[in-house]
Amino acid sequence: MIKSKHALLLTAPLLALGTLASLTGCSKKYDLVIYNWEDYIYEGTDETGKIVDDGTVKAFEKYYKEKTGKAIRVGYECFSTNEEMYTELSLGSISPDLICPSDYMIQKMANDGMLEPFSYDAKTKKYGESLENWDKYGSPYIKGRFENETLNDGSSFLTYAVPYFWGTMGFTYDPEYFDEADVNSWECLWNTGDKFKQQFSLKDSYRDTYVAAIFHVFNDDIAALDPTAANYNSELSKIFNRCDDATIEKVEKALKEAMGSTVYGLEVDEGKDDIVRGVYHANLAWSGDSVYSMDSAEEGSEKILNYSLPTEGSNVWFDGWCMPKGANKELAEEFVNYICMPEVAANCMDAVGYTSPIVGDAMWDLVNEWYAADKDEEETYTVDLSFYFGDSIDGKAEIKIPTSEKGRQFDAQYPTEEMLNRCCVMKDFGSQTEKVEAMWIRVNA
Amino acid sequence: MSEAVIKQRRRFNFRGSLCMPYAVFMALFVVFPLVLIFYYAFTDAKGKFTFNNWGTIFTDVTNWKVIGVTFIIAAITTVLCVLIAYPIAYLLSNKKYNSNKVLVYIFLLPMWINFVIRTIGLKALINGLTKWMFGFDLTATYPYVAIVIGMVYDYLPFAILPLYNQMLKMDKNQIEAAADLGANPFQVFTRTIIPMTIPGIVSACTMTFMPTMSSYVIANKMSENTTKIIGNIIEFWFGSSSSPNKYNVGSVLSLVMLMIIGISILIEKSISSKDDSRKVGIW
Repeated sequence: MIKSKHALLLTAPLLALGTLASLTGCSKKYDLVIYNWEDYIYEGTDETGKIVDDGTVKAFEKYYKEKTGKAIRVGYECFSTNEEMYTELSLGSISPDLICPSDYMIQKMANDGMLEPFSYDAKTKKYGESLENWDKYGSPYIKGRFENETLNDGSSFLTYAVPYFWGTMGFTYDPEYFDEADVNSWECLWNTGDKFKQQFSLKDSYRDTYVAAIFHVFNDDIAALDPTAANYNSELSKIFNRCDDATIEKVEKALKEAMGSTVYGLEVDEGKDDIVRGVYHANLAWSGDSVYSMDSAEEGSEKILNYSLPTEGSNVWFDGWCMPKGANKELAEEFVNYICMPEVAANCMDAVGYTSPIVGDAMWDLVNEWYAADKDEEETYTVDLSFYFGDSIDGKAEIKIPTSEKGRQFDAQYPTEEMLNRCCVMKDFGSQTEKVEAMWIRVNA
Repeated sequence: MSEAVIKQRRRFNFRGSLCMPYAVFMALFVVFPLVLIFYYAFTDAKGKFTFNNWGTIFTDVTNWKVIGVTFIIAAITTVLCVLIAYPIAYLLSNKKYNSNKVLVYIFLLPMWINFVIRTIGLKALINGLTKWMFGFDLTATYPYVAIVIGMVYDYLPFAILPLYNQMLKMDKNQIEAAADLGANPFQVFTRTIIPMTIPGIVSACTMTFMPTMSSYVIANKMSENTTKIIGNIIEFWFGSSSSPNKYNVGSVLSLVMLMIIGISILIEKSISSKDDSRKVGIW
């Protein structure tokens, strides 16, 4: 009797451990594992969060069954920062077939040889059959932008990543407090006027806040460039991606200066709500978050917020689908091809709020449904988006926007070609990473 | 026959076997993580033995500054907590004011609510107050003051409880006797009440000092993320850092924090062992 009790007590923790072990072993049962950002895909829910339809992942399983007759199971897991994803991946605690990191992380992982290339042909600049939807529906502007971004081995960004969403970084601001002219330059963060004192929140992430300082520190160098030159963007990118010791020192000084005067605080997530509540009047924000703030300000408190993309330029970021080494290449490509269909991409864009690089009729319809002025609207202005939509739609990509909406959601999601030409893709800091990190801790301590 | 029974008893020590789950638990969740931290602290990303992580931490003046600032914040918080908790605990332990112990529960009630939510609430309250009175948000303008207020608010119950427990055990006759024998109220307090509650004071100090040294969420919320204490830096290394040695350097800082807390416990031990009274804690 005593003996059996003893055995039971011993087995209880072992049982518990066994359950844990079997839980962690689960992921092997999936044919395709996707590792994506939180809230970054269509989950089949309507505005109130009720499930009304198959989410993208579920719909893909059905689509694949219809196409090939094979039933597959797709696993879907989420991460909340690039670094978290990178750590999990390098520790081997998760082995996904498809991940969705940001530009600098793609660069780092590709340079470290952690990524499997897509079947991208650098000569024809096409993926071919396995990813024909990107060839067909990828925005000509985005394609042009990323074809020429190269990695250490000289291959194009597009060899390792298919863009999924992109956006810019600017200020969400309260137009009742700030005029557009107050916040249309990065210099506003170093304005010593009383109106600017403790009115800005920056990002508690050194990469984003570094951008703000770089435009201030090299203001003169940037102004000396010729914006009409063909190589303007690549020249600007060189300045934008400076991270030598002298630059880091200047950035540190600039950030410390701003922290003591115009900066209210740092945030990563709560800023998009705090700006709505009026805790401060300008928030350094990614365009998608800014759209979220503008929407929720309108719905919740009938407050108007605007988005300003500083005129000197800014950061244009993108997240892209990549395959880690050892991925199920065939299924992964099939999924990326599926999500590049305009209808599917439009669903995701509707759910996520960032700008999709996919164009086509379904996408054009969504943009029109969101932003186009009603017929009886009196004051409107016309925006020509043909640089972005190309010939993927019938007719000309022109859209009429109510004048009252200037500087708001539409402008945040679709900046002009001229402004985009002033936005740069951020590179990995490489061997300078530790120095930049140490600088960031110094700024904060 | 009887010998055989004893032998069997020895072999299957039932009471002893009850410890098994705890032993397994301790090994898995206390000893193993500690070994891991030690391992990481003395190796590089490739698993090679090195002291470089210690160099990374200690050659950077910022880390010293952060450790110092954390220590000062924790010390101020501890002193304030004990100063505020002491009279409260004294009143609570007095049956005249607290006959059915409801008051004790009222003071402990905030602990039933998640401390992050409590801190956010406190932040809104304080900022609203300072905005109305002086026209600025305390958390943005004086982050250090705000952090101390947040810490004191969150950890006050940890100071009240051990003091209250100790004061319940006070010998009231001694206090009365001291007064009868001509001691003035101040002397009664310093000569009888304080000596009798020293174990409670020591316990209250450790109960507030330890969590304030290691917490970072309160500092985040109460300073709008602009002021980093040692917990934040550890979080930075384990979370946002892109360095290949992130876990290794982070582990060194964790060990440093562990050492500071360990030393403070040793000091507490040496104080309370001088005093013969029973030691109390909240566990």
